[in-house]
Amino acid sequence: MAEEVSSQMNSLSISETNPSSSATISLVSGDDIVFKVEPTIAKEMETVQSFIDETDGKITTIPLPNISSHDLPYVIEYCEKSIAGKITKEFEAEFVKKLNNEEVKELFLAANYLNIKKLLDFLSQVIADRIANKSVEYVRRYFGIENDFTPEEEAKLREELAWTFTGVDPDDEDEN
Amino acid sequence: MKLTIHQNHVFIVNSKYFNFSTNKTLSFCFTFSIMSSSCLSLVMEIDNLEITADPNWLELPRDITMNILQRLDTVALVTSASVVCPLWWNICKDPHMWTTIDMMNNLSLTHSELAYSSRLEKICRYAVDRSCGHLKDIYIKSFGTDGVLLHIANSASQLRCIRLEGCHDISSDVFMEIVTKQPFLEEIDICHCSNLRTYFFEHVGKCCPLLKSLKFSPCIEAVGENKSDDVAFAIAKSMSMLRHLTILNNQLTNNGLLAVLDGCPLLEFLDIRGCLHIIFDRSLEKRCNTQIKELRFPTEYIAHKFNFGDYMYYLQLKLRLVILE
Repeated sequence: MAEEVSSQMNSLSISETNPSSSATISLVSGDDIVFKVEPTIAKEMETVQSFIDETDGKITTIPLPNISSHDLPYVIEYCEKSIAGKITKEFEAEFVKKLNNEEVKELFLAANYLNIKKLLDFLSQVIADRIANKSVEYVRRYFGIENDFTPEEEAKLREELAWTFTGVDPDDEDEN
Repeated sequence: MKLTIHQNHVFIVNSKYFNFSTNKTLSFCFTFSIMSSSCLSLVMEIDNLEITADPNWLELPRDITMNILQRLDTVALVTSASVVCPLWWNICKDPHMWTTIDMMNNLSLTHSELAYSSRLEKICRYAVDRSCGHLKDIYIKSFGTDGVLLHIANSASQLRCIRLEGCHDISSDVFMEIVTKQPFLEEIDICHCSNLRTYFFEHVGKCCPLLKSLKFSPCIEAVGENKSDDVAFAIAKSMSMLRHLTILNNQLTNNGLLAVLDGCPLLEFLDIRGCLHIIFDRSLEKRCNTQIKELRFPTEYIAHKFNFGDYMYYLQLKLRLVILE
């Protein structure tokens, strides 16, 4: 995977030449790193592809301001495997082993932004697995969600579901 | 200055929109306006922007959040996810969140007390009520009584799949009553439920004309001396739509198997491990090969064995309960 640091964001080029199908696509991460990928990879990313389609392929450099250069290689790796039809249980297990909670969340948001259905489904499952059988407080912390129930609302809920608040796993503070 | 996730949403929604747009001119205008307004301008100013690394999960589209929450099992959904925040509480009010009740991941009974299984029962009932009749699939392990099952049968009329494992408190009579009310059942999977026997198969076949998959693993480990093709004939007679049949440690013979193959022309997966009265000669093998895509032979090893220790523990608990009463 070739990468180069683009010195200026105005290096964004709108190619005037007739785009050939083999032209690579440059994805620019939020921290200005350029990732060159095959057009087939871009096809996996619906957001990127619709961008390319709508400009009749004239734009081959796509800025992705919300995706960092840390996350983008993971996304590209997954897309490459997906195209090759090599998404296996083993690959997914290895893939997710490398990621801590924070990275899973960031990748999930990236997948959502890029609209990659398969990756989104896969990460949804990963997230679901990681919050399964955890306390409410753990789930709130995991998602960074403020508890914005009013005290009255929460008291009412606790009462309604009083019989359920036992028997959850103790929270793990640090999970990798 | 911060670039919030909100702007992304605008962008994604719009790009989705012109995906479906057929009017080229219109879509070009959209493209241009989006390019200029949300993308190019951002690109130009990107150096001045600080991108927030902490996007608010509550701003994710509702269907994305549902996609995650739907993957949780029922216990997690009831006890944790639904009370995280008002938005999630709201999402969990949707009956479609409860079309599957998955309570397979419970600890086995040996690790718990009866109080625990009665708590699971309450959670199950709560989830059934939440589904408002939209319940389709139900997976229950190690708890579950006739009462719970009747509650399910009375609340749902469109059950697609029932999977029971180690539910010793469920009786054959009640199970029969339930299938009577579920004409859309396609899958039945009964594993190690000591009170559920094979004699109701014909009744099941009559009540569930759409049945595609039947799996039955009895508690009995080894098949005895007696041969009997009654169950096989019942299947052959009443379950003509069957595609998948797992029937372990059964007493059926070659005759019974041939009847099943004839009576269930769509059958393509057959698991008859432990059915030791079936003798695979050349003609039977040939017959199977013409129809079955995946075959598990009678002599193959059964990995997921009935846990007698668990069962003895269960009986002990029951006994204690009877004495207490």
